[in-house]
Amino acid sequence: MASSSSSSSCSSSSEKKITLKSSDGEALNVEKNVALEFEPAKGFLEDNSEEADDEAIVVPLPNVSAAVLSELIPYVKQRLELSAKPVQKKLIKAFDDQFTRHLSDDKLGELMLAANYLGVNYLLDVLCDVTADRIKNKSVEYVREFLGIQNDFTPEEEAELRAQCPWAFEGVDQD
Amino acid sequence: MSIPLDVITEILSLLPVKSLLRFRCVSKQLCASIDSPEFVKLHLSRSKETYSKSSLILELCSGFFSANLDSLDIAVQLLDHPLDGYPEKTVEVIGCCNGLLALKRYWRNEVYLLNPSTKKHRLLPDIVIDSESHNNNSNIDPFGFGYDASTDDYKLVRIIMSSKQVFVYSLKTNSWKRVQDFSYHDSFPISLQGGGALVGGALNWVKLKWDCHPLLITAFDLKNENCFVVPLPDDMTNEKSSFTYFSNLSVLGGCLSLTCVNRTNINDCYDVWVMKEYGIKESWTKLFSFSWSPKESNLKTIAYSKCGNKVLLRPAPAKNSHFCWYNLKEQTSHEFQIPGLPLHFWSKPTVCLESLVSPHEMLIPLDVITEILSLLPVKSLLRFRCVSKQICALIDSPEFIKLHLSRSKETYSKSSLILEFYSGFFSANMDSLDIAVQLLDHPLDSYPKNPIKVIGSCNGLLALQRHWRNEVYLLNPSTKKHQLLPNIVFDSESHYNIPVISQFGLGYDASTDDYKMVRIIMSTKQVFVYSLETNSWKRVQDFSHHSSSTIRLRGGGAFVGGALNWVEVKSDCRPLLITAFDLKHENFFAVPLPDEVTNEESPFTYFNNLSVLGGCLSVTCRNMRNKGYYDTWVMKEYGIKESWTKLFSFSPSPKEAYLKAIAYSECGNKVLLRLETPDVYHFCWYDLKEQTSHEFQIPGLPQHFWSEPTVCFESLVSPHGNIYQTEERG
Repeated sequence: MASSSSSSSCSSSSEKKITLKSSDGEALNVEKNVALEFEPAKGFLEDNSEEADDEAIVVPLPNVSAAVLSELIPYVKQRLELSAKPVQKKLIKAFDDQFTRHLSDDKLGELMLAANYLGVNYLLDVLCDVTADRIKNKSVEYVREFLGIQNDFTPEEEAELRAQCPWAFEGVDQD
Repeated sequence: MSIPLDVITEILSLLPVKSLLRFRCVSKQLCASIDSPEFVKLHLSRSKETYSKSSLILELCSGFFSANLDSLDIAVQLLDHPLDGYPEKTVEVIGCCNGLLALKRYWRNEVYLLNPSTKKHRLLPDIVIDSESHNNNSNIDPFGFGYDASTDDYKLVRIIMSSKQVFVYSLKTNSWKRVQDFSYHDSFPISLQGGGALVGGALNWVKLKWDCHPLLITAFDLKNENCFVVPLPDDMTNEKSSFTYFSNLSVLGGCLSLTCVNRTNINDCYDVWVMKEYGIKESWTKLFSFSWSPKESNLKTIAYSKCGNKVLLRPAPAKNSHFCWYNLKEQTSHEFQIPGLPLHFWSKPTVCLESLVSPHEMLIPLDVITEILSLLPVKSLLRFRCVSKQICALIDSPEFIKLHLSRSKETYSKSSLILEFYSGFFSANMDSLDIAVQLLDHPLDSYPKNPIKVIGSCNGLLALQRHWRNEVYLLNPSTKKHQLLPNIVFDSESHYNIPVISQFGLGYDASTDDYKMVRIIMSTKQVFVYSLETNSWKRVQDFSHHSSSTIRLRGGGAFVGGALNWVEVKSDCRPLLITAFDLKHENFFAVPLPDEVTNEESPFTYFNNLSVLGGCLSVTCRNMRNKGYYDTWVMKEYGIKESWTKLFSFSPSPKEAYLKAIAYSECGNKVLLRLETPDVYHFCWYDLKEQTSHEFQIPGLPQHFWSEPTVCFESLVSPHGNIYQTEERG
């Protein structure tokens, strides 16, 4: 993944480049077709279409950090290449699996936020699937922390809810 | 008049937090806009520009007081902060950033984040400190609180002076982690003062010698999570200036500001320095020098005035809670008091912005959470109703129940095969038919003498009837909720509560968003419709055969196309046509069968089964002309005769078996069949492409007789109608 940015530039040197500016002020060069996959960038490029030189355009993405963008860009790029070919769904699924398999919970959350903000729905769907899979056998406490939700039940209210279906709390994985 | 949303957003971004919290009630859209992370950031950036949205937070033993920087003539008590309950234990502000205050209870390790504008707070988890350090007295430890733009996260830093360990708390992960230890670089005793002033993405402390002579600034970079050194002006640190003593470190107009007592002059005075460009030693500028009469006091710079020509100062200890405006141009000072403040001791004042920044970082937006939840099994959802009130309300909402249902229909692993035995119900996941699990607790369990049968299935609801009784139940096997349906009030012409031969069917009427059960009393031809919404039966027009030669109905009311379907058969089981009951209009209509099945030239066709295959009506008939083959037909478009397609012909062994097509496999290239003879039953995958079959048994099933298998989705649909009710016991 680390070398993909350098190898990509030679494979598609004719491709126009766009500069994306991350929340922490870093500038990242990407192919225009990759940038167009990000809704805010697409909107920005359409609004600034009178600019003759694409190279001069800097698209601000104030909600995504450079660290997250630099993971997203190679993913989107490879995903675009995959879907351009008449490949089987299995291949795309294998690629998605490979991308998500080793993500930490924190990274998963960050990517999900970014995919949601950038409107990369195919990635969001995959991340939602992975998240659902990760949390389905987990405890209530784990899910509160994972989703960043504060418990606002009183202990009595929570006990009542739990008593309604105690069987749903059996066989839960260790956090 | 309709104002575009971006204009409304612009207007809202200028409002105080209190107004915004009120206006969340205006509409769902407005509420979603106000809650969005983009808006919280936009509003914060506007607050930073607006002088009147900054407050001076003052800590007193009796609680927190807040005074608007724009109108310091009145102080308002912040009554309800989270640490209010223990008045005997004072709290102190240990950091402030973007409208969030970090608070610590004195003599304790309890640390809170509080947004005084939204009044939301959070208790931080404890730091797990290694055993090597036993001294966990946080009162001497420097804290600092700031925002890391690179990860869009708020971080609280604690340096444990006794062990030099450094811990960083992240709001996003709600956890502490240990980073590289702090190193003094000095042999003589030192201390860190200045409260972790946040400038340049770093927290800053002044490193002092034992005699309070400042040495340098130690800064903690919030992005890289390491310490670095920021130099002080030479005037302050060189040997000649050894009579300079640290008084205060603060943030003035976004710049680091250092106040020192200068005792080199004949008259002691305070020098106020500002580092105009963070990290650049040469940019240190002496802003002003100020003489204050009580020599033993110290001086804190708080903020510029609105037009920037004055600096708000607080000299301490002040006898009468004095504040002071220092005019930079005229070099004059004006003392004043903020009315309404008690005269007790209080610690450093803190400038705090109004903001919507939440101390509970909602990591993932609600629509994404909804999407994730919609993919979960019912058991997980029932557990996660305990997560929070909002999540509970979401899971219980009719919209979510529908979304979850539509996802369950798409997800092969969320459908089960329900199999009925005398000993109870068994369920096998369609995804893993290698094991069957007994559904232990269904409502009719307690009467083993009268077995029950499934008389209908729709959207995760099963309709059940006890044999030889009129008791009819609805059960959701995923939530284990059930309801006994009321009895039909029969006309006097028919006998009340005598078991009557009936045809049942359960379906969903999208036009009224209602589940309906139909019961046809075969002896009287009376038709009754039960509505889940009204929880009552009503009688509709009587049933009449579409063909005079029909003697019975078969096929169990398969639900396709908004209608319940039965096959009308002759006395010798030859199929005639499909009779369907429209759940919307509550009347019967006829659906034709393929000619090959019904025409007079094919008298050797016998009806075997009606089922739903991939959402289409499917008929299986035995074709005696063709050496006992079974033909399975699919009506690709409901109601269109021409769309009947022969899916496959299959000759099972033994030849006399009764065959039912149950479902497609996940990839759709196989069909699950059930074969049954009076002696034996088994399952079979029929490969449509290869035209081969593979027989198998589901382990764990009893050997006794059992009735038709039913495919059932996981769903949250309640057998008590759309309103989620708490379980009725007994």
